[in-house]
Order: sequence, then C-alpha cells, then structure tokens
Amino acid sequence: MIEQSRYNGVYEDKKRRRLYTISFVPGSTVYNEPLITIQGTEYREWNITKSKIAAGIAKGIRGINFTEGDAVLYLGVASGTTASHISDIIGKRGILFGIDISPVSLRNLVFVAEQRRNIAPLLADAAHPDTYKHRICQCDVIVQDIAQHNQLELFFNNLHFLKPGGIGMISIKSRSIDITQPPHKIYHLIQSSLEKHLNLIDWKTLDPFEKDHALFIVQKK
Amino acid sequence: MTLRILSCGIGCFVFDKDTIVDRILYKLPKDYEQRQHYEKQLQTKYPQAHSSSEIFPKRSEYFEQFREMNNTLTQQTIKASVKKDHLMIAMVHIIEECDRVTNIFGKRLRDMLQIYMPGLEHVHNDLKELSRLIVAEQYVKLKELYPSMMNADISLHDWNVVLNFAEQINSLYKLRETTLANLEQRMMEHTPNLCHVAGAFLGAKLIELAGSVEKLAEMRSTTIQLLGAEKAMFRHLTTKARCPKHGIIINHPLILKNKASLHGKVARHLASALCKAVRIDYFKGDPYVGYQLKEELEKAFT
Repeated sequence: MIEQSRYNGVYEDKKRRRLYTISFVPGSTVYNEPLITIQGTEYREWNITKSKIAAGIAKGIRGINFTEGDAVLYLGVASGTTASHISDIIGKRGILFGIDISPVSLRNLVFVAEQRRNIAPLLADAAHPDTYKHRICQCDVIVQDIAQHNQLELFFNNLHFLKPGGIGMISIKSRSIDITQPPHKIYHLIQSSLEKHLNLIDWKTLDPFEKDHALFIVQKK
Repeated sequence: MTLRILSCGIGCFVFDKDTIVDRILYKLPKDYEQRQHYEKQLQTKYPQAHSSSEIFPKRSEYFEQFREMNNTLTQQTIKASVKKDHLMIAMVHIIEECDRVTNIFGKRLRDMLQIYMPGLEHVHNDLKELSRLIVAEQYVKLKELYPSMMNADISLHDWNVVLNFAEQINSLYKLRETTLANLEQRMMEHTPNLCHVAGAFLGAKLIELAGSVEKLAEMRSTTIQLLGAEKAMFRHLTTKARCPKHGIIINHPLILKNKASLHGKVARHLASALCKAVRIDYFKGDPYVGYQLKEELEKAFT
C-alpha cells in the first residue's frame, strides 16, 4: 500500500519500509530501480541504501522539503541516482543544477538529462564557484554529497547561491574529514560550525543505511 | 529607478529592482565569451545603469535557457576532458584482466588434460607453454611425445574441445603481449622518464593509482612510495600497526632483488626518483633524465 509520507512528493510503503516518488518520465528507469503503477500513477522506488537523502527520510529527519518548481543546486551529483528522485518531486517547473567534477559519472547524467528536462548537468569543481556562477541561478535548496576532507568549506563557498530562508542538506562522511577521530566527535564539530552562520534544523546519523555518515539540514538566515 | 545590468551565461539583462526591463539573450554558450560587447550595448542604451555581479535570480521562464546552455557546454567540456592517460590506464586494466582470465581458464584446461592426457599436463608447469604445444602439435604426436599409460583414447572430434580452449588461451597471451608492447611504446612517447625509471607496466600502474599523469606529478614522493598501500596506511593510522614501507613499487626489480632490510631505503630513494621523473615528464622537460636517474639508483643499490 503506497501512501503519501509526511515529506512533500515522497510516498512510502510503511509495511515494506520503502520510499517512492512519482515518475517524471513514466516507463523509464535511471538505475534499474523497480517501477510500480497503481491506478494509473507510476511510482519509482527510491533506494534507501543508495541515496543519502532517502536514508535521512527513512530515519525521520526534519526539514527535508522539496516543492514543485524549486531550483535545486546539487553538489556532487555523480550519475544522478538521488538527483532523479529530486527531479521527480520538483517537476517540470523546477530545475536541478547537477555539479560534479568527474566526467565519468557526469556522462551518465547527460543521458538522464536528455529524458528529464529539468536537470542541467555541469562539469565543474565545487571548490571554485566562480567558474560556474554564471551558469546557475539563485536556488531554493542546496544538496551536497561530496566526500572530501574540506566538505564543509565547500558548502560555505557555495552558500551565496542559496536564497535567504533556503534549505541546505549536507551529507557528511566523517571518515573523509578525519579517519582517526570517532564519528560523533566530528559531527559535533560540524554542528558547532554550522550553528555559527545558519539555523540548524536537524541532523541524524544514517546508520544502518550508510556507515559513518550523517545528514545535516540547515536553513539560511 | 535604479537600473542594474546583470550578465550571466544565458544573456545580459537590465533589472529594475525585480523586473526585467531589457535583455539580450545568447543563442550559443560561446556568446558568453563576448559578453563585454553585449554589456556595452546595454550600458550605452541605459547609461544610468550600473553593472552588477550578483547571481541571476530564480526565474522559471529562463530555466529552459539555463538547461540548454549547460547541457551543450557540459557535453563540450566532457569531450575535451578525454586524454591520453585514459588509454594507458585502460591498457593496464586489459593486461591485468588477461592475467586473471588466463589463470581461471588455465585451471579449467588442466582439469581437462588431467583426464585426457595426464602425461602432457604433468610435465609442463607453465600454462603458456602448455597451450602453445596443444595448438602447435597434432593429437597423435602429443601422445607420442608425452607417453603415459593413463593417456586416454578419445576421438579427434572430442580432442577439438580441448584444442579450441587452448587456442583461446593462446590468443589471450598474445593479447597481453601486444598490449604490453603497445603500452611501452606509448609510455615512451608520453612519459619517457617514468618509463625508464619504473618500467612500462609499473609506470602505467602508478598513473592508474594516481588517476592521471597530472595527479601523479602533483604527489609528494612519499605518497608515490605508498601508492597501493592505502589499507596498510589506514591501519597504521588507526591502530598501533607499523607504517608500510612501500606500495605497488615493491614490484620494481630494485626492491625485489634486494634483501628485506634494505627495502625501506630503496623504496624511499626509488620514490624520490619516480617523483622527479614524473614531474619532468608532465612539464615536458628533458626526456633523457630517466636514464640518469636509473643509473644512479642502480649504482647505489645493486
């Protein structure tokens, strides 16, 4: 039984613990995900173990809100597995700017973007926002999934693309920041860094779906 | 009425607070490169407007333009990102896959030969020689050359199954040979010093582990020393395990042929020489420095 979850645009099967979004391009899959059609509506299963945002939703994190018509900046979009679900939710009036530094993964996103007309792929380095600031517009949401040592710095460097009151969703991989420290120590450091400049809405660790990862939801003041 | 001129990838716009008063839309992504020309046009048309460097606001009517422009530009940059490094890394992978597959096929061939011609299988430890013989000699001749009371009598029709299999293994060995020769040739063209110091295969493996020649050239010699030993390095950092002395460069003859107590020292000097070699190659310097570096190493450690 698929019902609306408490997150906009996200549907769930409570019994089987699965998440779904309504397909923007019915009949096609992006990463061989299962498709289910119920009463004429096609749902795409959102794999909780492959997507950090989906894992956050499964853990009940507060603050994840994609609306139809949103402009989303996605740093570290890779092949577009999570991006395709966000594209489902924001619909044809929205746009998702998918930035990745690797041509290997972005090639797949280019083909996905040919079918989904609300995705704009960008081959760029998130550490140099000046190289792409002319290619994007102001966004309602920034999603970041870049596992690097300086991942928080990357987020702050791109914060000026977010509208005031906009939401940021940052996936932190603690082992990328410091492999010798225990994860919870790193999460607390991240928490205090974020609270200095932004409103921290919620954060949760993503176990058991992702080991040593946490998702932070912030709002620009 | 404060007017601002905003330039972005899709065009030049004149804003009055939140409304767009005028605009020039670009047709191709490369029009953005001539943006100063278009900005001047608008500036002369609206002399009281000042230019603004802010980000283009969210306007859904221009999303299609942003999408088109980014799509085209991204595809162009992806095409331009293809380099020679990718081919060399692919060749390393081909050689490694050949080794893996011949190993698996070899076990299967030996299983079959142990049943049908144990006299032959028992004599040859080397798979390459074994498969070469099966393809070169006739079935009857092989039974004569490698006699054994356990050699089975099967028809030529059945022996053909073994023969076909041996032919495939042979062709895999040939593929490995030609790919390695090809790789050596390309390494000599692209990174001659690295090829001299490390050898073609090890040099290409280092490029693979680094990701590209550029990344390898940016690395410190200590990083090059430990490329391939990441597991041991993380273990050392997180537990009380000792620090690894070398990564993939252990396969270099200078390290393999020396006694274990010298491995650390040789690895350190070799890594330092490799670092110099790769940097000279990347910045297109003298292609003969590699000879010198190798000579110095051999003088010190053989």
